[in-house]
Amino acid sequence: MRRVVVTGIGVVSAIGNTLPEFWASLSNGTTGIAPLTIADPGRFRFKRAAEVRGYDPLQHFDEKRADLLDRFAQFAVVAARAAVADAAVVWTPQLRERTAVITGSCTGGQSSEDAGFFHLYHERRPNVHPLTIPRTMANAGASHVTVEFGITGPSFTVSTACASATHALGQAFWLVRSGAVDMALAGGSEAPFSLGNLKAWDALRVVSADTCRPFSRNRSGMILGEGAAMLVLESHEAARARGARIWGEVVGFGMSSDAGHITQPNAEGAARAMRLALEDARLAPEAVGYVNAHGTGTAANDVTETQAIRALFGGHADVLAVSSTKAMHGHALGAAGALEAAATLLALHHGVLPPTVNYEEPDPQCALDVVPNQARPASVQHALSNSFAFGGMNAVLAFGAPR
Amino acid sequence: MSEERYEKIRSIVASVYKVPLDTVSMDKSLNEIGKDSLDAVSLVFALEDEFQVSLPDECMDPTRSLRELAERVESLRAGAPPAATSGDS
Repeated sequence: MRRVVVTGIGVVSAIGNTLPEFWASLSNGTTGIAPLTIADPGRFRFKRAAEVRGYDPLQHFDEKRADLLDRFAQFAVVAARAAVADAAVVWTPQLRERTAVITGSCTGGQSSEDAGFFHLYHERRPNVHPLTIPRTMANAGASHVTVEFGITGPSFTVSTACASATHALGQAFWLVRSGAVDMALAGGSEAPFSLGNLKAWDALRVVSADTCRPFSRNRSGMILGEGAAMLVLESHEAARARGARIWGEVVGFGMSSDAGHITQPNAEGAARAMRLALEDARLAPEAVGYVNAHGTGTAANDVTETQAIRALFGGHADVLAVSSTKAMHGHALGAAGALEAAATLLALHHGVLPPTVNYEEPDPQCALDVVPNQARPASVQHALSNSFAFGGMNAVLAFGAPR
Repeated sequence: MSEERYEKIRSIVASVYKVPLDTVSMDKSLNEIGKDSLDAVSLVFALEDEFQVSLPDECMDPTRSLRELAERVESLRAGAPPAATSGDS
């Protein structure tokens, strides 16, 4: 089995649409959570979101192409382009056949669907736009990425709610590691801000009317985000041979199901996924220096995740740094796992741990070193990135610093 | 059909296929204007929306001229019975 490294990263997010901006925000503790502009905040209990800013589709696509792409698919292509450029991939016909494209998305192009249904149900027009299906389908992001680069290898989209991109990256890692493919372009994208979808989230009462304060005693829920991150994965040997810059290594992937409640998380399931990621990586728990938490800022997740971490790491949890970057880039749903994988790799590469911002009061039920409010220089060799999704689907990636 | 209506159809075609207006001649077939089947269905949508008609599938024969398509739209507007479709009202 081959060692797998990440040689390219591309992002579109509330804290930066380029990798340098993204990292600058993470290391400065700058949040992208701001008053909602993409919909009327008067219609919801919550008032804030982590929206992508300064993004104009026509700067990236001509009108004709833009027409085919829902915002979520646009984000996937823009992030993929950046990742491929960052990795300085040299395409050959053989590589195109031996590359996989795997994306995660929760709702795909639901904004296009929402607009179509508005015409149908509200305006009582006889039809929806014929491009509704190709725009809405959750695999549109991955498909357009294959078209962009002429990739003829395996491609598919994974849908596991908030863990989608982590599952996608995990599958990509295993495919490269096993030699089934030589390269993978993997990650996730999400653009969930249609009125209907926002209303659905509002009704669930998990989005905070305040802001996202993971692990803080006065936390009151998550904040929704949008965006995309795509990563280029290839074998360590291939990367070295072509002189590519290595951000870090993917060393393990673990998955589990809670088999419990459809929305409430479960510490056993979460701990099991982390343990399996470590076993896949052949790492002892004590080898981990940093965990990028799922850390949504909900009452339920943060305490359950703390229990899971304490159960798995035991005494080591006293010295383990655990932060949630969702307080900066928001909960980007199907893109979350990819944004967080990017954040974790950058943290290992730069030797700086991103903070949990908006942290105000310690919660005795979340007794962890959450790297409160300020980034911290730290030379860490191994890290985990957690995603614990609705439906009890858990996915954890283990990363290693470049060596 | 009125000149105005022909012009309206030409401008809808140009806008859907994203081609310059002066390249859209009523004697051209849809195939000659653009090969993409998605453009063809988008055109149906746009014409149905503009003229409040329901266009049957054979209108979208890409080998037919725009002029024939326009005349079909006109006759449907004028109340000729449409071919069976599953349109909503």
